[in-house]
Amino acid sequence: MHRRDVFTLLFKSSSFDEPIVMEPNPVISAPVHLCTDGTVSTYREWTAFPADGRFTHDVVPDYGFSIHFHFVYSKAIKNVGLLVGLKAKQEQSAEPVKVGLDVDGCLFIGPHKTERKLPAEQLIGDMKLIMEISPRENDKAFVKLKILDNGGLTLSTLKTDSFKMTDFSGDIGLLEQSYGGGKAVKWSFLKIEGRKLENN
Amino acid sequence: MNRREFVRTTSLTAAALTILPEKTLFANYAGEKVKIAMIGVGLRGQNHLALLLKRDDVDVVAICDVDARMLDMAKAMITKSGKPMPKVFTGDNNAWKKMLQIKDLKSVLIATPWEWHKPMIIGSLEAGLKYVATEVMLGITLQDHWDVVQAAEKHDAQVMMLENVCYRRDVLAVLNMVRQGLFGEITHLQGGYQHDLREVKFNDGVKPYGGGVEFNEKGFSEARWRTNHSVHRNGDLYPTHGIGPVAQCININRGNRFLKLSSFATQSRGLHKYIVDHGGENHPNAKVKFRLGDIVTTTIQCANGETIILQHDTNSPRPYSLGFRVQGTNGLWMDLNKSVYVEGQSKPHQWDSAKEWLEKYDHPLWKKYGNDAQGAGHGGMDFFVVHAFIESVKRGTPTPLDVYDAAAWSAITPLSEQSIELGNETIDFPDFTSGKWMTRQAVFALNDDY
Repeated sequence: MHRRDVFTLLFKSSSFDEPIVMEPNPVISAPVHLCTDGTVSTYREWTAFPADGRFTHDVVPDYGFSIHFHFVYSKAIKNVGLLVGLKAKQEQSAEPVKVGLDVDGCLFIGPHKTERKLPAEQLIGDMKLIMEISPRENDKAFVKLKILDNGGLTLSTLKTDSFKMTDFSGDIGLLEQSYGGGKAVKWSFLKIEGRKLENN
Repeated sequence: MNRREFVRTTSLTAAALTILPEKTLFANYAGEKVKIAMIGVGLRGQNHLALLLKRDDVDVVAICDVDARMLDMAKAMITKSGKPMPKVFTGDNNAWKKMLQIKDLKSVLIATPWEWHKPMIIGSLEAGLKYVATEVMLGITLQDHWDVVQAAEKHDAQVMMLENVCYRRDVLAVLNMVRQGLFGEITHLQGGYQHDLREVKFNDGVKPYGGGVEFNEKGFSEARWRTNHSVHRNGDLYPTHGIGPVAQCININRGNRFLKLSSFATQSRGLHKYIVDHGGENHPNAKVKFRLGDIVTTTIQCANGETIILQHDTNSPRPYSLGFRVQGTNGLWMDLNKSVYVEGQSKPHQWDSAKEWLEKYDHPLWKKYGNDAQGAGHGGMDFFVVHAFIESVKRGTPTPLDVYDAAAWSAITPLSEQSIELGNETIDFPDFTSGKWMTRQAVFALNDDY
């Protein structure tokens, strides 16, 4: 039996006064995480190591950003990629997120990795890793990592929404294998694009 | 038909009600009349009101609006029609809740700003109404769409979105051609909403269309609420006119469903340019940043393999076009060049004029009710969509466009917003039917009934 029928029975078909619960006026507004007022677009790029090994930038991660990393693949190395979200020394308890391509030919973002292994014959010469981080509500992040061959063909993609934007707040570094010892990966270009505060 | 013509038609329809001994539908109707209430009697609501007043099988028992000017216009229409004046509810944004308590009310028609549709639909269902008609767009967020679907299921009620373009004469003729297999197996479809709305989004606060660059509180009619969506949202904000008709051609929710979509938006330029061109660069609204890309393109993949391209294009100077294309293994129809090609019947590699084809395959609904639809809004198709709703109420049958259709079509908006937000990511389409799409049968426009 529906509510209207119950009322009709109770009040013997007489009219009834059901209390009106006020409906709040719907509000149309841009999601907070997409509001970029007070910011301007910015980018920074490097072709050589900074002295301290940290790529320091002014991108505010709240608004989303992308990182481009160009390198030369070598079978000699294990993992190639980046440390994203290197914190300042006083807050180094928070680990940066490791992203890149592992020795098996799988893309990885932290603990997540692609199931499909890229065959070695596709990993020849100049390669590009592109990471895009888009903000979601409540500080959540949508992260996409792609690897492109030297012709610009996308070979593999990995996506995850299991991180927060603040996980990526901080400087960028290279994975140890990417620059250490005699098995160093040759990299040629690193760029971060995003938004910075207007008055910075 | 553009908005000016629509308003002109509406006004003429209303005027005709008094001047002419207007032929009414279902004169001497002996059955129980449909008691209907209306939430929202703005210009769009008045168009529906004019149609309802012409029917002798309908009693408009109540109207509700917060805009005194619109209410006065609606009351004048009712007075001129000679029909009894319904109860009038106004005063605040919750007056509609009071109206829904009217005893024996069976149905309601909602024609309010988009953001009010969901609470009003659900409020109507919770008040016990079994038939709810709503103007297009079911809600704003994806969750809104789920909420409406689940409320309709919970209350075992019909929610029909008044997607009038499904009843456009050429659209129905093409549906007829599709169903008769003329185009073979359908593989690809296109549609959209390509309508220069700049004079709808901005006006002088007095007239509904153009004459100024005001919106929100200083605007009038749709500029009071619609423009705000262009400020804050970036996606296909108005997909249903384009998707509804093509969805019928491939039986979406009835043996087929949308699987995923991705959307792309251009930069936002047209609305700012219009403000500067018509209000000057020092007008306060020239500082407003609009998020809506001028042209938003969405690609949809369907379960049976078809692809659909939708375009939303409302910020730029252009003639009106919904840009339909229905293509199969044996031929296609394109509305922009008014052409048809059918292999084996058309000259190879040459378009036929669509006119002869559309006349030959004119839908039985238009053959039967074409004269009754004369003068109704939007080239007559408004008549059919209201007719379908009223006939469903009278007969106690499901509406031919149901809540699952409404949700699937309208949800394109939040899904396209999400796709753009995530860098044109491909977004999975939720199955609002929860699997029922596999066994549901087509019910829309199967004959000349409604």
